[in-house]
Amino acid sequence: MTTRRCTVTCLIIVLLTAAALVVLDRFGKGCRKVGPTGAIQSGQIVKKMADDPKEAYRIWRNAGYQGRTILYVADRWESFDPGELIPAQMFRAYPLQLYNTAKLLEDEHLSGVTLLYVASMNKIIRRIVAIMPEAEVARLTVAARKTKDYRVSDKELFVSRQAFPRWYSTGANFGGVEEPVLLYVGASYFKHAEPEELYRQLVQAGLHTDCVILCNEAGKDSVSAKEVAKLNVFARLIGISPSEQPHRTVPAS
Amino acid sequence: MNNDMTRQKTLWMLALITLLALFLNCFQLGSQPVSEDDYYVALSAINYTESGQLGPTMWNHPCLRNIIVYWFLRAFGTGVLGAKGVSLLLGTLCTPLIGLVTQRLFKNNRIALIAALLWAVDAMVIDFSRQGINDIYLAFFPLAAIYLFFRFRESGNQAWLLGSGICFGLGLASKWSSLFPQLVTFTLLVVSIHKETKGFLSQRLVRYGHAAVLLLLVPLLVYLLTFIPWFSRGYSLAEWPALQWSMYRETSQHVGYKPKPWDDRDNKAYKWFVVPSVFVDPFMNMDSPDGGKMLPKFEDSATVVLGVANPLVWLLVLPAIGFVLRRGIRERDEGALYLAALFLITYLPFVLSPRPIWMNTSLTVLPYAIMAVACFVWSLAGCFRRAQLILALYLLAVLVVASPLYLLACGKGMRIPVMKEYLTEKYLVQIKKTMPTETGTVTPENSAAPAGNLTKDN
Repeated sequence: MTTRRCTVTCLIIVLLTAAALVVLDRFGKGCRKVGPTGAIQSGQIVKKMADDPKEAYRIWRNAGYQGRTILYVADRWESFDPGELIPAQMFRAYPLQLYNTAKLLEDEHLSGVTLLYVASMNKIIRRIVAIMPEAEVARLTVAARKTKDYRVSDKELFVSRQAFPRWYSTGANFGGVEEPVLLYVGASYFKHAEPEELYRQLVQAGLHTDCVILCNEAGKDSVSAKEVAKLNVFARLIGISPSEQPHRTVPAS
Repeated sequence: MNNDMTRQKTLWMLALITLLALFLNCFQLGSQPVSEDDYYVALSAINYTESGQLGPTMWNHPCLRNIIVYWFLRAFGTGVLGAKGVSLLLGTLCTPLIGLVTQRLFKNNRIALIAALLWAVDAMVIDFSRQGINDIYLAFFPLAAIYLFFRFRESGNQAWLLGSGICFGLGLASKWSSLFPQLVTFTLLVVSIHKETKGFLSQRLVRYGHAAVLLLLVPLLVYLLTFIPWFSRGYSLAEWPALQWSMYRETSQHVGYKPKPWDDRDNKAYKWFVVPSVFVDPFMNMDSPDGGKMLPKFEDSATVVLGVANPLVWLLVLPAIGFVLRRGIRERDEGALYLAALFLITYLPFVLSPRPIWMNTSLTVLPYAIMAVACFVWSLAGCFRRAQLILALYLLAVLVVASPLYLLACGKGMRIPVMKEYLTEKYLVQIKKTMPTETGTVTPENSAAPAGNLTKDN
């Protein structure tokens, strides 16, 4: 084998590798479906009130959002064992009765507890950033120390579950997200916080979004009329009149 | 001892041994109960390929299995061929590969045939060639890569080396432990380039670069490309290292996905070739002729698949490696040194690992172990006057021991009267406690297996 041939082969493979890296990166980013974006008070973004998380999910689904970061604001992080949602199959015979887990979860197991999990399984979201009350972040920090992949800093907690990345911080420590997010604000958050405070924190962080969903979280034990009233105040702050909905839904591009 | 066997005759013999392997791997495979692992391998294939989702089984390992199994399911349906066809194919193809690689290592056709035969009848190999999970890939892809590497060295045609790099990449995309034989092979290539280019510095540097590109960069590229479904979830290249880090954190500290409901202390790699070892895989499958309306008896639903190491082969491994290493050093035998390095560099990290290493991982080192044993018994027999007779008696003894082990590897243990009680007592007591006890109609409450089988831990 000649030196020249070796060199040519190396160059071709290195170039192909570089091209593959660029293409993969663009492919991944291209799979994100984002609508027109702006600050939370902007008039060109989708802003909706939802009664429960299922409705919020349907809004995301119908708009075609994919591969997104969600900014999830609520009073607590719902924990459950995904393995218990679909029991182990006792009868297994050929031909195997198989299914797409993401689709099954969406059809049969979507709830306020499973919302984010189902959205992640169905490619709507790829990362979660959560704003929670201080006590909840502290509780999650203790729990995270028992896991294998976590980082704790003054500002936030990072934990991954089966390599799915999640960040938790308080409203005061929230430092923004580097890309437009799907913003979900649950009424339960206002059990421990004021709407003006959250509004100020999000604006100060320079948050950009294409879809804001304010959810009454109907049926959640920590939500009363008081929290819903505060959510409505927050809605007015960002330019939604709670009575005049639904707002337009712009298909994601 | 006589080594005068023509190449053509060797290939015919190898083909016959491969047919034997195919028969052993296929026999009554359709009637072997489907384990939870088999089922979840198929589900994970759909999850990953359609949704880019890791899991539900073995999320911390690379994802090649999901992609190949998915396309097998699409091509052959959800029957036995779709679910287990890949393992069956790769497990069977390992047999000729063992022969071809051994022949090149020792330049001896008979040692090659002995190695192929020992591989074909090994219960661990048969066990994992009949399962959906991907441990057998860890034998196949590095072996294929090593074979192609030899073809490159014989011909100088770099297409073989490119093929070798691709196969190493596919091995890496199965499990990271494929990295060990890859590094050994890369080192051998660098050493041989060093020898061949004495006095030609620029040529040497170019060929080093060529080796690095084909045996390091190409595998990395192949590995990366198997994550395309994951990228389809919207992830960018900058997020990929975090995924690898999460996988690494889990893999390096892995102690099992769930606690095993039986005495699970047999998970130290140093034991594999020192004491008789066994890989245990008990599971429940309440498959019944009426489509699952009535619960069959517990004993009729329980399957215990045992991958029992054939002591006549496995207990010879360490002496055989010592022998091969000694021969390599004394005779400056490159093939022997390469084999010893393949074994030691692949095996020692498992031995030294502080976390449990279950025996399914032994398939990563078993090809090299068996090649060494084949060389060892051939050389040992050669010390005797009636060498061929001794060798034949040894192989006969291996086959005699392998016969009952074969039944256990096929999950027939619970059908053997004495074994049934033993297996129930040893492995099924805890599982039995969690199962519905009465024979009766299945209700939604009792139709879910609470513990059942557990995914293989690696």
